[in-house]
Amino acid sequence: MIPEIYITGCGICSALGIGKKAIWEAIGRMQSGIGEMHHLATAHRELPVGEVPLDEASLRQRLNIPPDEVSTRTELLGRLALLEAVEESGLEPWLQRDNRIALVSGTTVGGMDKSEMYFRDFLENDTRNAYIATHDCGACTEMIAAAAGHFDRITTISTACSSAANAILTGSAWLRTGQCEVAVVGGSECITKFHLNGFRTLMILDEKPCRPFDASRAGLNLGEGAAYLVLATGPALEKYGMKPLFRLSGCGNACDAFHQTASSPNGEGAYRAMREALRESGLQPADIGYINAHGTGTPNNDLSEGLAIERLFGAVPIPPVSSTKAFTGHTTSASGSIEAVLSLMVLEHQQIPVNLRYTRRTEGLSFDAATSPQPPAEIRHVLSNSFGFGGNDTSCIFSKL
Amino acid sequence: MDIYISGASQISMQEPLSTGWFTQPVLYDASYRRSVEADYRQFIAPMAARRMGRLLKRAIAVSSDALRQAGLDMPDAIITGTGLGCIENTENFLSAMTFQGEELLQPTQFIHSTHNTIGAQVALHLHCHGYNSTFTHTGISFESALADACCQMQTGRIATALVGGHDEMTPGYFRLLEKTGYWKPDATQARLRLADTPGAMAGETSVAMVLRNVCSDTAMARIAGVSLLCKPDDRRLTEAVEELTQGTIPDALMTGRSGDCADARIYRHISQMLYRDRVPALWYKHVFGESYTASAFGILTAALCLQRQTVPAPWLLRPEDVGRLPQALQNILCITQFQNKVYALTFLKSC
Repeated sequence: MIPEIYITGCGICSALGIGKKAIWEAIGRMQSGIGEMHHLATAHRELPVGEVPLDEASLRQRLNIPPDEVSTRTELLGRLALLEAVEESGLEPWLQRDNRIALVSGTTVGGMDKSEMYFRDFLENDTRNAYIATHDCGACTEMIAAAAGHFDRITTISTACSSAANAILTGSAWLRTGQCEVAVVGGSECITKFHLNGFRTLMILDEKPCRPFDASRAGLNLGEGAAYLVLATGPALEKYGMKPLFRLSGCGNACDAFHQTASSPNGEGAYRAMREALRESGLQPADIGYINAHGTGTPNNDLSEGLAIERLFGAVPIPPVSSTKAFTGHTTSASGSIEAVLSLMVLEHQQIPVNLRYTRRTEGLSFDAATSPQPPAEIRHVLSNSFGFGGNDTSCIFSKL
Repeated sequence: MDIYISGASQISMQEPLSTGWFTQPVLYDASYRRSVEADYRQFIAPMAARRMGRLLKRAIAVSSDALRQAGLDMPDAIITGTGLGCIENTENFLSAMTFQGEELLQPTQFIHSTHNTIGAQVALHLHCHGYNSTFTHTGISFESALADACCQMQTGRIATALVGGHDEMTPGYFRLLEKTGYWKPDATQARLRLADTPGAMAGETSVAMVLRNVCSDTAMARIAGVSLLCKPDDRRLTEAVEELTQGTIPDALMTGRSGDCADARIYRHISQMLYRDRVPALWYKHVFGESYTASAFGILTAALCLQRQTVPAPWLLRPEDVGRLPQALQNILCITQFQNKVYALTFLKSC
C-alpha cells in the first residue's frame, strides 16, 4: 500500500513579490513581474528579466543577517521561501533534533552569483576566499537549511530547469520508503551573469517580454526566485499537528535523450514524464483540470511540449493549459517548485493564471493557451511540467483533498 | 528489498577500467594527481569524443564498462552523483566572461557546464529514456544517488539502475580549494596515514555501478541499505547505524579518512563511539585521493572485498588489524562524512 502524501504548507518568492498572497494578487491583476533589469551587473542590461524586487542589502536586512555573515543570493531567496513554508505548515518548532524531517533542494547556480563577482579576487588575492566554499550547490542548501532549524537528512538535486520538480519527486520517494516523516522540498535560484550569458549564446533569450505558446514567441526571459513545499504522510500529520491542505498524487521523470539543450520534435521525454506521473497517481488524462506547462517561450520547447500534451490526451479534450513564465520569467532550477505552489493556488482559488501575451495559435498545435481565468469545470487535479537541459523532464500532479 | 551491485568500473589515478589496483595499488606521494585516461575509442566515436570534456568521456567509458560486466544493455535509470559537475567547462566559461567580457562567449562551454550534463550525455549515448536524476551535495553526492536508486527500486519505479559518481579536479579549482586549506602541501603516504596535519591529497573520481533487484552471476555485493544524515550527534548516528545493520557488528568499517587531521579525529571518534575501536578500519583515499565523490571508491573497494573474500593489506588503516578480520567476510559498513556536516552510511553484505 503506497501511503498518501499530503502538502501541509508552502512558501514562494519571485519577480511577482514575496509570499503567496502578493504573488496571487499580481496574477489576479494580470500584472507581469518581467521588466527592466535592476540588480544584475551585466553588459546586457537591455534584456528583460523577472528579478525578485529586492537588492542584496534589503534581502539581508529582511532576514536579519549579521554583517559578518557571508551570503549568496540563491541562499537568501531560498531562506525567504522556506520560512513561509515552515511557518504555514506549523513545522517551525519541530525543526530540531530527534525529528525525522528532511530537506531536498534543487539548484544549479548555487553560489555562482558571488563566484562570478569575485572570480578575479579568487585568482589574484585572498580577500574573498570565504566565497570559495559557498560556490557549490550543497553548500547553498546547507545555508538555506541552517537558517530554518535542524534537518535530519538533506540533499541537493541539480537537473537544470527540472531541479525543484525532481526535489519534489525525491522527497515523495523518501516519504514512501520511510526515510523521513516530513520532507521539505523545492528549489532556489537567482539570476546570474553566467547563465544569462549562457542562454544568450544559445540565442534563446527574447529581447522583448516572452510570449509562451504564442505563434510569435521568440525565446524566454530569465527569472529568479524560490519555493518550498512541506510534504508529509498521514501518521506525521498527527505527530506534528499539521493540517493537510492538498495531496501530491504522483510524479514522473523521464529523459528525452535527444540533445543536450534542445527538445525532441515530438517531445518524447515530456510525454513519458507526464504518462509516468499519471501512472503513479492512478489518474486518467480526463481527471486533469489544468496543466501548468513548462512553456518557456522558446519556439522549440512550446511546440514540442504542446505535441506531447496532444499525444497524452489523444481523443480526450485537453484541459486549460497555461505557462506562468510570462509572469515570473523562467526561474530555471526553482521553476518546478514555484510552479508547484502556483498550481496549489489554482486548486485553492479555482482560478487559472492566464497565459499572458497570447494572441495567435502556434502552427502545428491543435489547442490554444488559456486566456480566461475561469475554469470550465472544477479543477481537482493539476499537472505541472518542468523540463531541463539534458532532456531531464519531470511532471508532478497536485490534487485537492 | 535485495539490491545488488552487479557490475562496476572506475577511472582514477589507478589503472583505468581495471581492478588490478585492488591487490596492488600504486601509492603516490603527491598533493594532486589527475586520473589516468583510458582509451576512449572503444566506447565513443572520435567525432563525438572531440566535443566532450574528459569528465564526460570518462563517465561514458565507466558506464559502458559497468553495464557490459553486468550483462545489461539498457538500465531503467541513470542516477548521477557529482559535487561540482563539469567544473572545467564552468571555469572556462567563467574565465572567458571575466577576462574577455560578455560578447564572445562559446555556447559549447555553457552547454557542457551544468551538473546534469554527465547523466544526460550518458543517456544520450545509451539512448536511455528512463528515469534520470543528478545529486550534487558535497561529500554525499554519490550516496544520495545510490539512496535514490534504492528508493526508486523499493517504490517499484525501476528494477535496474546505472549509478555514477563523477568529479574532475582542474588545476584552477585545485588552487582555489588550496586557499581554503583543503589540500596537504607535502602529502606523502606516511603523512596521510599519520593524519597529523590539515589537508588531503587531491584526486578525481569516475565510478559507475550497475544495480539490480535480482541476484545474478556477476553480483559483487548486496546493498543492505543507505542512510543519509545531516549533522548527527552521537545518539542519532548510533541509532542510524543500528537501524541499518540491525545490531550486527560489521566485519570491517570502510572509512572516508582523507589524511586531514580534523577529518581523522572524526573517524577515530566514530570508530571508538560505535565499536570501541574493535572493528578493523579500512580506508581508500590514500589510493584514490580526495574528491566530492571519492566515497564511491570506498563502496567499490568494499564490494570487491566481499566478492573476493579478502582484504588486501593496502586497505587496512592499521596493518596489525589483519588478524582481526574473520575468515568469511559477511558485511562491511561504509561510512563517510563531509566536514562533520553531512554523513552517509552504506551497509554492504556478501551475496
